[in-house]
Amino acid sequence: MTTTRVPVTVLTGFLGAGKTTLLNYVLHQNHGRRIAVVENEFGEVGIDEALVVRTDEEIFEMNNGCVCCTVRGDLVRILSRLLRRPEPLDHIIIETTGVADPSPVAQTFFFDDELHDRLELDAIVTLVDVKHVLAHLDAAAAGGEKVTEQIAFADRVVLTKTDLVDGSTVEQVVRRVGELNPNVELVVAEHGRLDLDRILGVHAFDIDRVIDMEPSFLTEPVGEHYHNDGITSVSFDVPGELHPDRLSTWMDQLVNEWAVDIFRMKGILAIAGEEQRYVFQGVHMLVDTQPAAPWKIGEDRRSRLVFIGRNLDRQQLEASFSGCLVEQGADHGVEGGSAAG
Amino acid sequence: MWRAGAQRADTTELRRIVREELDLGDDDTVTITETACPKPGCPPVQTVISVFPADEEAYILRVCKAVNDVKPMDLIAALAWGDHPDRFDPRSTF
Repeated sequence: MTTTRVPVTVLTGFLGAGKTTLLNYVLHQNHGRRIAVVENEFGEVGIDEALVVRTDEEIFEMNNGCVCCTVRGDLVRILSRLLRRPEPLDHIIIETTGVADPSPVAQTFFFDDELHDRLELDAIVTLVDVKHVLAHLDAAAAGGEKVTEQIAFADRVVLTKTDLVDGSTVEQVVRRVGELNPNVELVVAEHGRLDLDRILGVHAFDIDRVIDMEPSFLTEPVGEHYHNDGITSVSFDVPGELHPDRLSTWMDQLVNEWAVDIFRMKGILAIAGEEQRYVFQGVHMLVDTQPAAPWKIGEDRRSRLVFIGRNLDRQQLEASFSGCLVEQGADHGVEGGSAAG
Repeated sequence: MWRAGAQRADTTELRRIVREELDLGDDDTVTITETACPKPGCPPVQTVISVFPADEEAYILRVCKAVNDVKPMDLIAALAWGDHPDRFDPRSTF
């Protein structure tokens, strides 16, 4: 199904991080892709050539009484319009403003099945200006909060202006980025140039690739990383199999109680009675779950989850998740599969 | 919202009904989401229909039923009680 979906890259980054420079570089490369750019009206510099659609941010709240899901109404309209074009597009790039919250943009791709079936959120790419980002991270008044969210949400972080600082500053930035988002892939742009294959067509949100594309996901040590403004990365590994009904209830509780604070989450689930792994990922309240590769015969069945968000309590998350485990001898009718494989 | 891929409701028919009942054009956009909430007092399942008219403000219709159970009359009721009541005034039928 992914082959027929139009990939969409969301380009974020604080003011002056080099988004427009990168966009112009992308559009002038001889890559053969038919690209549409959705640019916020307050973009700093115009984009040359290519199909450019300008938009006003329209925040649309889908409050269902318990959980509020915020999406970008302007993107819903524009993306639907782009999909109706007679000439198919190869790629769509959405450039956000420097102070934009990435959450509503990301959620726009998950809340409606039709959009989800026709568009593939390829990756959230965040540009980080290494010369200024440390000051921005340290000073909330300078927009630090949005910078931290933009980095925490990212699948790829592009380091720009590396030629303007010394090596130790770059190392410091790399460390700070890693504290916020331990699994993110870093790409260095040299004089605004980089290997486009590292940021376009990476399928970071393709649920089948959570394992394939990120082997480190399975081997990274579990734990918790705190950032000074409450941004937390939490991961845990739970051996055993999950009772499907309890898991379903837990998922509902998760999105109702924690959704506002969870930016991104992904995981591999071992569900009792299922021969396949289940892979899930989500943005705030919107969770997508799909079956993936089958368990091997005799393989130790276990679940592994990673969350990035604000003020997350690892102990509480892990304890509540562990409550979904099948209790041997007590859960009649729920077949464990680890022995049979 | 626990949405296993195999359990996801097909919204095609409901989209057709919404477009027909609300007399929407090709440039108007409809999105449909089925949500679940385990909290006491909340409807266990809810279909949230968002309408983005081409040149008008977007609005939401909520029906406390699963996607596959929503009927045209539910939309009329949702319009009467929803975010955009001037789309339909039930008093006009009396």
